[in-house]
Amino acid sequence: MQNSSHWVRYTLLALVGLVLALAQVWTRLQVVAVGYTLSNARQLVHTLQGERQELEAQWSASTTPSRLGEQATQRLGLSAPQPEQVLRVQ
Amino acid sequence: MKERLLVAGSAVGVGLLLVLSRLVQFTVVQSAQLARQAASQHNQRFTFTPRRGAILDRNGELLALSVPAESLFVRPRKLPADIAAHVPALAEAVHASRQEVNTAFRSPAPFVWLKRQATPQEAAQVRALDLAGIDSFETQRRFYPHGTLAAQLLGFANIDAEGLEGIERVYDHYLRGESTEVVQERDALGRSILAQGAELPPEALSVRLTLDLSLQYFAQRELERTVQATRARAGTVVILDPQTFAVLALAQIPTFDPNTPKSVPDEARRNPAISDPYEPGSTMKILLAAAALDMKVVRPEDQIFCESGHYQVGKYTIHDHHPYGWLSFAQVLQHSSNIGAAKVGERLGKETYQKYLRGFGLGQKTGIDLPAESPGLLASPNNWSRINLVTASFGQGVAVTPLQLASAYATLANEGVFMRPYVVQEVLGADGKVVMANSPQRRWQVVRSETAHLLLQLMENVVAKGGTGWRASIPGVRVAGKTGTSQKVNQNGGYSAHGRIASFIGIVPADQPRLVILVAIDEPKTGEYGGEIAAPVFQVIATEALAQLGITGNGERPTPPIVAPTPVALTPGRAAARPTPNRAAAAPQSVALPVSGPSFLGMSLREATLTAQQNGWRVSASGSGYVVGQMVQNDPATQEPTYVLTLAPTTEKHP
Repeated sequence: MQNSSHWVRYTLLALVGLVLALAQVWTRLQVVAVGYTLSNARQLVHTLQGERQELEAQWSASTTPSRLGEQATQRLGLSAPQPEQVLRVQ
Repeated sequence: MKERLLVAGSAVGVGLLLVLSRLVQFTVVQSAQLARQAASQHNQRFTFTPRRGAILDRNGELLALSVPAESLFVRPRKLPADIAAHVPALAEAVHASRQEVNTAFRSPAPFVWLKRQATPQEAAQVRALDLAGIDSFETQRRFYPHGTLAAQLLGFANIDAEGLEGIERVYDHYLRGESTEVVQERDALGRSILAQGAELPPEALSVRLTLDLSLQYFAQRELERTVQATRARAGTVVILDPQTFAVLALAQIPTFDPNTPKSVPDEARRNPAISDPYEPGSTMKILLAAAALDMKVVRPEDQIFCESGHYQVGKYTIHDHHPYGWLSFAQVLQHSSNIGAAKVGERLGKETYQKYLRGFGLGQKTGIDLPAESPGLLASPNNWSRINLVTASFGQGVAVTPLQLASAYATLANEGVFMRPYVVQEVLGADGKVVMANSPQRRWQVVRSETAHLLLQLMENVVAKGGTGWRASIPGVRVAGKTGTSQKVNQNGGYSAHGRIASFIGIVPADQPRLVILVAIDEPKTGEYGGEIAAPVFQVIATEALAQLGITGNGERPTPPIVAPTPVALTPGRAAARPTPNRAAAAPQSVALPVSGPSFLGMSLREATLTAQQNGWRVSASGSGYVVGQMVQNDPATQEPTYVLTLAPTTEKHP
């Protein structure tokens, strides 16, 4: 009778140990999974930052004064106003 | 049976003991060593280099930035056997010749660059070919979106993102940022696992300049036109804010594209505005006049005999461009008489003259935050003979950089106070916070403010009808300036027979100076005089710059439009009547008064402004399109009633 209670106790302890070990494995897997997610997110941030800079570069090059001046005069037929044409609004 | 059980039990026991002993060996005895081995396999050390920071103009316009790029490389030994068939496609993808690609493929080296700093599009095309032995890694490429604009001032960075010239060099340690080393866990496929959390790598700092992109464009465009039209060798424009000595524009021709700096020789990348001194010629007479008037050795109305164009000093003869007899000192400046200036210089004396010249910053570096600044050339007074003093009075035998001369004139426009010119306004963090700021630095008082005011008045005569600089005049704006035509020094130390530098320096508006603009054209072929070649360039640049900065003739900025809180719509067609000022009944400026005057509804801003001007009414406006609302408010400064118009875009004009 005493032997059997020992077996039960050992078995329970072994089960607890097993559960703890499985929990450790599971949490480690979760950490790795979150680590992958973080890594992908950071890569995405990096890529998007790069794309933003690329777009900013294109925007700046497209709106450079020389290009705007060329577009205004050659494409739209605009010209700089004469001093007497300029009205100042207070 | 028992024996068998015993043998089996012993075997299991021994086996377990062996397992336990290995367990103890791994977890206790070799624990530290094995942990290190595992870490070396899983963990990898990386160096994060931030993308180089941007350079911005004073309004936040991008002048330089770093964009993602990929460097493509080849491992020739790992190339597939049929690689020759892919050469044409690869060459096209990376915009290289087939020969260049073949050379890379046949290299005996284990690693060869195929293309450094390829664009993302080029890299994507190469990846699409899916060839073994060709790979890439991420890098950055410096991009200057405005090409040649302010190239010498910005400088450039090399392929390794190190600043080599200009602002890129001086502020390199801010722009480059700090590389950080991190340890990351990697899986068997080399993928990163951020098991310890993720920290974004630090970003580099940005630099905001005092430069104004629009002014820089005006200056460079006009300079380029003039250099081409006059078939000149080179040209320089410097624009300073005389209240702070901030550099607003610094244009030079010839210039280069910092996106491809190696396409021009090193000489073309110099910054002559701060590195190359020249003899300033007659523009120096203003500095002489400042010293003479400040010391009271001459008054504007004093008569000076100009020797009918020939003045003997020892064995040398001084000439004027036109023979003059008696001229007042004001006329000496207006007509730019060398002989008149020489006589005033002799009255002043070399020690006093030099003291003032050094006060104006000549013969020493201005201290601008740009590399390779020259101090110019101003010999010690002990080494000046009489002829040296005489010639220095009209700008010969003294060498200044364009920036030095512009700073000297800015001193006169700044109540006689000399300051340190600067080109970087502030350094900004990635979050936009100011990390370092340059503020205007007052150095010393050179001349009394009354002298400076008097000088500006005399310089206005130069630009008036009959003055040498009349082509610089701007209708409705008071302009002060001085022309200069200097002979260039040749290689033998004498003066060149034909080489001239035509220059003009102007201050606008003369009554409340906001801009100092120096124009120097080197060796023009269609003329030689500053008033003829450089003054018209000044006139165009100054006109556009004043309009761009919203500076009116008297130096004031127009007040920003008052935003109408809730426009009061009126029935169009009411009788137009000027609002009667009623200060006693004036409501606080934030409260709209009911309108009982004219209606601007449906008018364009131009029509409304013209109507208001013709009737002497004050208007302010917000929005664009046609007037959709109006109200009357009291101007906060003058308490005068002002029509506040609200404009909105509309597909149809209001009736």
